[in-house]
Formats: sequence, structure tokens, C-alpha cells
Amino acid sequence: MLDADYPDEKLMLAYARGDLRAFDTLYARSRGMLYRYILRSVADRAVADELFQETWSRLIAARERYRVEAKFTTWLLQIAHNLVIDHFRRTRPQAGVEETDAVMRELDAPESEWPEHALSDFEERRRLQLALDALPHAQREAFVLRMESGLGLAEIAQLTGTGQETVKSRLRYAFAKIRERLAE
Amino acid sequence: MNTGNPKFERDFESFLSGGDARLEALYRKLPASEPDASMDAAMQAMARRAVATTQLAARVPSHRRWLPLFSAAAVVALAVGFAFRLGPQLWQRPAAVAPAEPVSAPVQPAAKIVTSPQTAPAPTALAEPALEPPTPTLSPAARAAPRALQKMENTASQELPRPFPHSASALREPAPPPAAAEAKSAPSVPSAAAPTHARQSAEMESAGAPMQTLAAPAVQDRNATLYPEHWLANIRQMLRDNQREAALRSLDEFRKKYPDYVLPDDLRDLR
Repeated sequence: MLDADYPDEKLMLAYARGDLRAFDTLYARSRGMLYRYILRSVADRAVADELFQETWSRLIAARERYRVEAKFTTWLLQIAHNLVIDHFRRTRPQAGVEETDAVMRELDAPESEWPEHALSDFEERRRLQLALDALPHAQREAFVLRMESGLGLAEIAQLTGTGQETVKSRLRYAFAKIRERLAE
Repeated sequence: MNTGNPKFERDFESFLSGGDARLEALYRKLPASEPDASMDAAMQAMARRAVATTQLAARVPSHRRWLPLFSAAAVVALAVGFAFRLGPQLWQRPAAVAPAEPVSAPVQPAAKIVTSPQTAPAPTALAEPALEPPTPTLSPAARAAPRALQKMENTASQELPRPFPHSASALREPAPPPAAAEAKSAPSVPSAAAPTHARQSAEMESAGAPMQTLAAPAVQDRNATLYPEHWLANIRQMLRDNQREAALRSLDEFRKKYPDYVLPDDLRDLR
């Protein structure tokens, strides 16, 4: 293992030159974040395992073409995002814009409805998990990327191949739905 | 989408800027799903295989990069080998001809006349057309080599020492004057290269001059240049030819030149 302060990008370049210790460090840093992103995107452990493996496989295959043009995390998540999108295209259609707007209109709840009463930790986690599962993929993905990896609007937009305003809109819908679910 | 709810907008902006501590804390409490150990091992093995494959593949191009250099070196070595194999054959011919010079030192003056500067170019000029045309692949130096070799051979054949005249007729032949020799050698190269004593004998026979008519002083002068044994043999020949006076004079000369030479019995008491 290399120094914890070593940037991900340099680790990736070192691995591209054949340094396996760099890969081990990079993998240890990214495995949990990547796995959770995939798992929360597809909500299926078997599919998550498959996409997780495929993501690293593609990273390894593309290691010599890697250039430090963006954060390594963004690049890694972009690979996973493309795989997740392909998975959804194969399995089910995504929610349309109209459907999402209808949900959001129902979620415009008054401030008084925001849960002030204390829920148990378990109940709060369960509600959050249910809210995430209920989100359309694009909104859930944007939310997970924001929460799991700390990515900003620009990075999520780059990763998902959309505009920043679109990402902001998706996050707004996701945020509203989650608040509504937690307020129940 | 704008909900028009000021508090929602504030909370949302706080969420975007990472300031929604409550939601983030709740998110961190979600099950921290991770790949299992077998998945980790499989990923790391895949990474190692990929690197090993790349390193293995990288070795082949490096060998291929060296292959042209090795080939060039092999060609150079082959060329040098051929040069060493064929070089002595080219260089040996002049080397074999070269020793003729010291041998030609005791050659008779007549032979040297044949190789005079005026006659030397003639054989070369005649020999050149007979040479095979040079192959186009030869360098100018290589093309010049056969001509030089031929020239050297012609010169050497002219300078080769005449066989020592064992026969008395050859010994009696007077040395031709230089002008006559030049006149004889100039028209024809083969005549210049032919054995001198045979040519001289033929000339004498064609002239019909009997051996007895040769002038004695000339014979004496000529005998003085011979080896003692041949000189004595010449004297015996003169005795057999009834040239006793000339033989005696020649024997006197012999005694003067070789006072310590033990004469054979048949000549010791000759007076």
C-alpha cells in the first residue's frame, strides 16, 4: 500500500505503468464508494456485483489510455454509470419527465409537514432507504453521487453526460421526495 | 423546477453546498454495502494478470526492435567473412608475381632491353582488350584490380629471367645491340614474352650463320659473364669445334678470373 495522501490520479498513472501496489491502494480507497453507488443504483446485489466487476475490468483494460483530465473518482464512476445505464436499458424503461413532475407536485408539502418528531434511527434509515429505492434512476443516481462521493454539480454533469441544470433539477426532485418520505 | 417554497429552497441550497448535516448523517447510517472478499481477490487478480500480460507482450516488440539491428550486424559479419575469404585470392596474385623482381636481377642485358620503358606499355595495351569486361557490381577499385593484375603479369612475364643458357649455341649468341632489341620486341608482344634463347636460336638458324663463324672476342666477353662450370663447358665446346686458339684465350681469361678454381683434368694441362 502507498501513502494515504497520494492522489488517486497518480496512483492510477502508476498502475498504468505496472505498479500493482498503486492498484491495491486505489482499489481499497474506491471499492466501497463504487459498490454502494452501483448497488443503490440498481438495488440488486447480484447485479451490483456484476456491474462492480465489470467496472474494474474496464478500468484495467483502459489503464494505459488514462489521462489526468478529471478526478479519478469521476472517471471511475463514469464507467460505472455507463454500465448502470446499459443495465437499465436492458431491463426496464426509466421514469419519464411527466411522471417525475407529477410526483414532485404531490411532494410540495407545507413546512408544517416536515417531521419534527423524533424517529428512531432505524425508522429514519428505513424511510431513507425506501425513498432512495422509490426514486427514478436518474434522480437516485444524482443523489447518490452527491452523497456518496461528494461530487458537485459540474462533476455529476460530466459523469452522467448531462447539463448542470439537468443535474440540479434531478437533485431537487430527489431531495424533495426524500424529505417527503422522511416526513411521513 | 421551483417549488416556490422559500424554506425548501434554502434547505436545497444547503444540501447542494454540503450543509445538510442531518441528511448526510442519516445517509451515512445506511448499510455500508461493500463487495465481499472474494470479489476483492478477483479484482486484484485481474489487475495482476493484466499487468503480467502487458509486460509479456512488451517483451516481444523489444525483441522485434532489435531484430533489424541483429540482421544488419549479421550481414556485415557475412560481408567481412567473404572479404577475408576472397581477399587473399585477389591479393595473392600480385604477391606471387612480385618475387620475380629479385630473380630478374642476374638476367642478361638482352632480357632487360625487352622490358625497357619503350616496350613495356605495348603488352599492356595489347592485353587490355583481351580482358573480360568488368562486372557492373564491382567498384571502380575492384574493376581496376584485374587490369593492374594483368599489367603486373605482363611485366613479370617480360622480366622473368631467361633460363640459363646451357647449350653452347645459346652461349655463343652475341648480345644484340639495344636498338636491334627494341626493334625486335616492339612489333609483337608474344615474341617479347617467348623464351629468349629459343628465339635467338631461331634467329641464328634463319640467318644461316654457322656457329664457327662467331667472333672469338665476343665469345670471350660473353664467357666472362658465365658461371665457371658453364664457362669451362664452353671452352670444351670450342675445342671440339677446332677453335683451339680461342679456347686457350678463354681458358687464360678463366684462370685470371678464377685463380683458385681447380680446373678439371682435361683442361688443367691445356696449353
